[in-house]
Amino acid sequence: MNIKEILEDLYKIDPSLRNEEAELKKLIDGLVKNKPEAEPDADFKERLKSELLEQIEKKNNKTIPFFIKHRKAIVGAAGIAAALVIVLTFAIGPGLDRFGGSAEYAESDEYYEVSELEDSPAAPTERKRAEKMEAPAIQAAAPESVMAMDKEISSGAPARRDEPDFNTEEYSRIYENAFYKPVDQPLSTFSIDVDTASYSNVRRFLNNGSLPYPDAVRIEELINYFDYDYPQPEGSRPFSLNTELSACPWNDENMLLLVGLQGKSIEFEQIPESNIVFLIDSSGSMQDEGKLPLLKQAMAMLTEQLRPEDRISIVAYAGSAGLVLPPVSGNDKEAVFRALDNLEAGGSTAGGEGIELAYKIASDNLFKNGNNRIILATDGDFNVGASSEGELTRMIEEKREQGIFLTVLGFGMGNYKDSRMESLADKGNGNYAYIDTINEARKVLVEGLSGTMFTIASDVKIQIEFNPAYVGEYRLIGYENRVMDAQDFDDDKKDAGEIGAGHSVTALYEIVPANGVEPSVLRYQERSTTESSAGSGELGYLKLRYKNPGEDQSILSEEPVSSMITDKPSENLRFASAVAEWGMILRKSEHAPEASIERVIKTVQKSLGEDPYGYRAEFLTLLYKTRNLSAASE
Amino acid sequence: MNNKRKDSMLAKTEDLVKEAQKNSSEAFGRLYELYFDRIYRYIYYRTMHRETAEDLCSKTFLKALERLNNFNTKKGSFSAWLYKIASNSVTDYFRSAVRKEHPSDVWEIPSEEDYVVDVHNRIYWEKLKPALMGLPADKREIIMLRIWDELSFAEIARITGKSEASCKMSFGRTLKHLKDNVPLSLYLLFISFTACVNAELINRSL
Repeated sequence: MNIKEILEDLYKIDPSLRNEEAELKKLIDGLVKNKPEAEPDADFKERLKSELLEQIEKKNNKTIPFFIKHRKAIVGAAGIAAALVIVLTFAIGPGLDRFGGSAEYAESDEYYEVSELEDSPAAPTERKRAEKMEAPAIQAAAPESVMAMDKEISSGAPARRDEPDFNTEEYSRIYENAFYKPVDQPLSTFSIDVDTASYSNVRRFLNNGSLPYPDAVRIEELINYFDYDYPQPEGSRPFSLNTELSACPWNDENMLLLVGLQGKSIEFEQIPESNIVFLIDSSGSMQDEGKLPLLKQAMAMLTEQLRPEDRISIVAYAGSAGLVLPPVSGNDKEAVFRALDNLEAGGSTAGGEGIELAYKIASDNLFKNGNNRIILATDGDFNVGASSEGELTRMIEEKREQGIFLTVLGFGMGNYKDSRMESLADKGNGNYAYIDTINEARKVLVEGLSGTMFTIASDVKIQIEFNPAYVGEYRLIGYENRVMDAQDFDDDKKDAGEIGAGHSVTALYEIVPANGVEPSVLRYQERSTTESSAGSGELGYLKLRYKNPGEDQSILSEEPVSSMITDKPSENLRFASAVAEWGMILRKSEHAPEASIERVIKTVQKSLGEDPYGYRAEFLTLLYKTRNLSAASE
Repeated sequence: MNNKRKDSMLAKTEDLVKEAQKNSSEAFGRLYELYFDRIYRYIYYRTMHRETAEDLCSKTFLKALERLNNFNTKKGSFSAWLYKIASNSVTDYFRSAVRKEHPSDVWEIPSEEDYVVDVHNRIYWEKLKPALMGLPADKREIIMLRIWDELSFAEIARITGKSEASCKMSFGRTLKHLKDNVPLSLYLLFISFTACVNAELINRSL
């Protein structure tokens, strides 16, 4: 702030002030120097931005395509829908004048007299009074009320509660990663993500007969939903690292690089004693068929497997949070079942309080060298405002330092808050799964139990430096909200994803070869041939950082990525690329105009593999549904 | 900033607003980037509490988004419009709290009242309050808009709905009043605070 400028302004009004320059200067200087510190929080800034952009997208989706896109499904409810749209428009209407009015800043002609500073001039008071009368209109603009308005719509058409356009599901806008040139941006850095929620959520959409919202599709979560056949780790590193390069199915001229991490498998019996707190959302919104009963079943399923040395507590939240079951031993399963049975849905959600209490119980019963985890089961419809949400996130970030992990299990539909739940799990060093059926509960809580319940490495970050000699451009597929700044890779304070026992993580890069370079084709040999020509023959250099759970310092692991391309891609790569291509079709990705559902179907038909639980077979049925729905919508 | 650049920026803002009014999320995103920090600080200086400032900042931008189509680029500047919404959010916030008197910002809240100010800024609040609290809200606002928010009088005039001349007049007289009544305490605060910081730095280096 230029003090001189301020002073000059003053002298123009009252030249006599010049005589008091020294004192005025001191005063202004004092005011400037004593300005409170007000650095906005970068995280908050980003969060709010995506929330706002999401609102715009929602608006865009809700105007015309509302009827056109889902014409078939809406036929029965069309009348209601039309009426509701009108109601909504008018409900917002009257509030609009408030700022429309105050936005007209006709320059006031009156010369505003300031004879005595103590005066409280009449004009502002008038204005205040007027504003007071308009107060209800302001309230209607608060973010919570926007949701409330939406909610009225969904409850106004209960028959179509499962129809996406009638609900208040919330998704963060995903901006797809772009192609970068290694010459400009040699480093690609991201945090791993073992969440799988997006897959089950997309499945729910398709099974209900509609294509998912593009922003509900997080490609990395689709890919990571499936198990891959990577080797188990050897040595001290808790996971094995695998890379493979092949041609890109949806673009002949490009290559596809797979980076696969396989976490060490540990039988549940072998994981340390566990202190588990179920935090159960029993609010009114959980009343719907399918939510609470499924939740109870899932929790019972999990309880079945707990061991005598484990400790279980249950906190429920609805209206006000409460400890439903004080900690009991894993032997006392009956007590847990009884407590679960007695849960009833009702009241509004005070999620923040619930989480706070759950963390308190978890830390009161902390197993110092054990596994401490909160399992939050909810539809995510927390009744908290934006600020409390910020506080919630901060609290969770604080608690994770104590070694308490968080698993988020999403239930239900209609008012499902996907973005919020993903971010909670992300901030709370946890994982996030969406439970839409009892089968899914089994996958996450029985087959994947040790992965869901036990973290083997924290803050896992991957950084690849691409070699411009081979790579013209590269694009990370998915992981949009996991991309990190290059310098954050070495910063151990920057949070990243956790990997659970037996979890695998797969990432794909689409690579445009550098001009004039024909990647050498490796047909029948091992990839190790490249190592003799050090420096050349490397597509890039892969660095990986992780922490052993509970430790502050990360461990660095690095290795070169070979530029040898295989014309016999492994089943891992074929299957993962098919899932990615499907994801891009669902996202209507601009980066894969040639993506084809037919090709995806063919590939998957050929790579069903062992598929002991039928996940890949189920995937195939989802592909058929995608094909049919896409054809219908064109 | 030279005038030519300023003009082109204004033109750019106007274009962005028009695009945003057609539901372009990209345009709105850019407007957000242009204004977020300023609006956040504006709110912060008047609430002195991070969570509250974030909450009100969300409300401000959500309102702006909702009412964007009511904003007429010909009738006023977008910046002033946005500040106005922020200002209303602050007023609403203090009004909604159950209080006998309705303060218009944090500077009117007596220390003994139950209001949480961020710890790291508490020293400023406690010390500046005697000076700022004695001022009528609209006059304090002009001081803050000019010195802390670093806005020009033209902008201040648009935000407060007064004429530029009257804003200047108010500003000059308020400063004069402050100089005659509370200059020493403020000056001392500055000195003592810098002294504290220096002492702290010396301690650390030892």
